[in-house]
Amino acid sequence: MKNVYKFFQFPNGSVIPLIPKCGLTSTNSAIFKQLIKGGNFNHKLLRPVYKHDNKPALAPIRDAVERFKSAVYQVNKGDQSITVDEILDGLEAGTYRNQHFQSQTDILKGCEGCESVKLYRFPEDFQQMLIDGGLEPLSEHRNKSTDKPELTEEQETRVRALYADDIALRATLDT
Amino acid sequence: MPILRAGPWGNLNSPHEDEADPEESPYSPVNCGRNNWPNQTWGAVATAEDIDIEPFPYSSVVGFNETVTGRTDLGGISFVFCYQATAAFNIEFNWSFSLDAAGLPDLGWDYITIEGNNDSYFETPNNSGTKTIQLPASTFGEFSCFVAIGSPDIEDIEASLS
Repeated sequence: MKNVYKFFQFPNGSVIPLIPKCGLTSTNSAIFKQLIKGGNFNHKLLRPVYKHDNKPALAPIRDAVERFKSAVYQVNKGDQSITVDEILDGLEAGTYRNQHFQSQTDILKGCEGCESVKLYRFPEDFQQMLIDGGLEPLSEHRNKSTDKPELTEEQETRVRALYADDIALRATLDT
Repeated sequence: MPILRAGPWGNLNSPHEDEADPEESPYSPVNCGRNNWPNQTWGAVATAEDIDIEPFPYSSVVGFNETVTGRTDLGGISFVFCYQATAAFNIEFNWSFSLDAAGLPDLGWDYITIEGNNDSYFETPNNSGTKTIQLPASTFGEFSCFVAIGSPDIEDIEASLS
């Protein structure tokens, strides 16, 4: 199966897979500032690419419930409107497909073949991830979701069931 | 503030270049903000990046509201232009695609001016939308934006500036 996932290229030769709702805007901003500082800016160097070239991967992993809430906010920006329950019903039935709700563990499968994969807690260890990628830490987190929905207890239970693998993965980083 | 005209094409490293073939040139049109020069129509170089299925000509010069279309599984559309402006102005970046499967789209823009102003943005966008980007006054600036998809299936994608 072809790899449909993309990777940011860090200046020290590592890559970061594009995982929605895990600091992509901030990552882009850090790379942009580094490219300008280097004095030889090219728009294309800023863009993610479809291959990792077996380079070491750095990956931010976010709490699945917080990430889900951020994704709900994202898909309701603009003139679109879909409720939490509609999303959950669609995800459970396999009828709602939206890239912002893909599991982090699924996206990480795109790192297969990388020399190594190092995971970081997002947002707690995000700055360290940038530093490990050869970038300078950012003074601010950009594009922060400002109006995320509150979930009912039942909704949160459903989210935890849908993203059980992500929750298990994140738990390995929290211990 | 008077601005000595650059162009007609150029980039940040070389603001005074002749009009060139967009397929081969590293330069793009130098515009007067959102307006036409008396002897040059507003334009941006649009490029079908990585699109090898039903592309429009790989790179071409387009104006406002000129929609660029493509069909691709791994690829996208980018725009780049240079500008000179005595006041800040807005550009709208419009996009649409039909991604309905596993896979990821991405979208971004950036600008740099010769005075040192710069900014960039990136997100995984919804299937359609518009971003309004304010470009600062500058004696010479360069702007680029792109939208792309990665999909198991062939999808339609289109984009325009307005």
